[in-house]
Amino acid sequence: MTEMPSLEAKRTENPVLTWLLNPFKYIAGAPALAAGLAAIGAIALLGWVTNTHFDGALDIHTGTAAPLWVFVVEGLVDWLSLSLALLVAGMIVRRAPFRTVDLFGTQALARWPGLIVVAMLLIAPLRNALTTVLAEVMKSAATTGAPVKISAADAFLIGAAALVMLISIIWTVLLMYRAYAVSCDTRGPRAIISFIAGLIAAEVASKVVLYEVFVHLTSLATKTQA
Amino acid sequence: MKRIPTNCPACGGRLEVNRMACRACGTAIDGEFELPALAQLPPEDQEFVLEFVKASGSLKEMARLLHLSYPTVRNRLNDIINRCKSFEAGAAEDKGGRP
Repeated sequence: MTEMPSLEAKRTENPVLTWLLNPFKYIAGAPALAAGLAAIGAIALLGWVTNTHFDGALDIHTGTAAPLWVFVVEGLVDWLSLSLALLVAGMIVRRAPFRTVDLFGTQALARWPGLIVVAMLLIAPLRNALTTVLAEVMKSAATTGAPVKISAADAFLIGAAALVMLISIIWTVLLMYRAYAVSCDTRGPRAIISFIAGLIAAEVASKVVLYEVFVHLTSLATKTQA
Repeated sequence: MKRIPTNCPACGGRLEVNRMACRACGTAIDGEFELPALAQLPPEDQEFVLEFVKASGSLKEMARLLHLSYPTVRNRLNDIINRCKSFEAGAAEDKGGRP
């Protein structure tokens, strides 16, 4: 059979932009799952190095050191909670049957912008500024409640980091939505509403699951040591 | 070859074939002949369906040929199926409305 680019060439669009904003047009299923799990693994590893936690379907927090397995569990719980929530949502709003591997694979790959955040936090002065200022803010909040004085350089670094984190989160959410829409063949208001519902459910579920997992594992570790 | 127009340029209503002619002897037949649902699809969708049949109905093969993901190809097929269904529903309505 011959190649048939004409079927798609008529729909003119920038392929680079499509790869950035909707890569699932080109990649889904097992390849997306493999790439997504690699991204989740890399985020966990760099998160462990930079003390960056993705402790919720959409959360990013920095500062607390923990063993590597904590970061791996966080990444997996975030991915699975949203994938399962959107699996239920997709079954409700779908136009036709869809493959679970497409949804789980594309949702894993949609998390890759998290790599930008952890890669950015590899920059030591930036990480130190964030850690120091956050520690001072927490200390102040717990004691006097007085406003914390921040140097202009630190303010700039923190502002830049916050902006990158915000863009990363927006990008991730956009990719999550595209992954859901492509995998479950849903669009329009039904797609948007069901996605938001799934995202909220996943955020709550991931927080609860992570709390339960860490309480359980910590108590197990304590018992083993005793 | 010219495309088959499927909608009236004046009112947008569905067109049907009224006259058919034999290329060999020139014999012409007048009547009301309905366009099949597939013939009413846009040319690129007709091309897609043709390639899909030639690929033995394999969405995986279509995805490979088009350099697209499996769900993207499947979604396009779903769109075509829905269009065909709406053509068939429109044709059934037209039949119901005729005296």
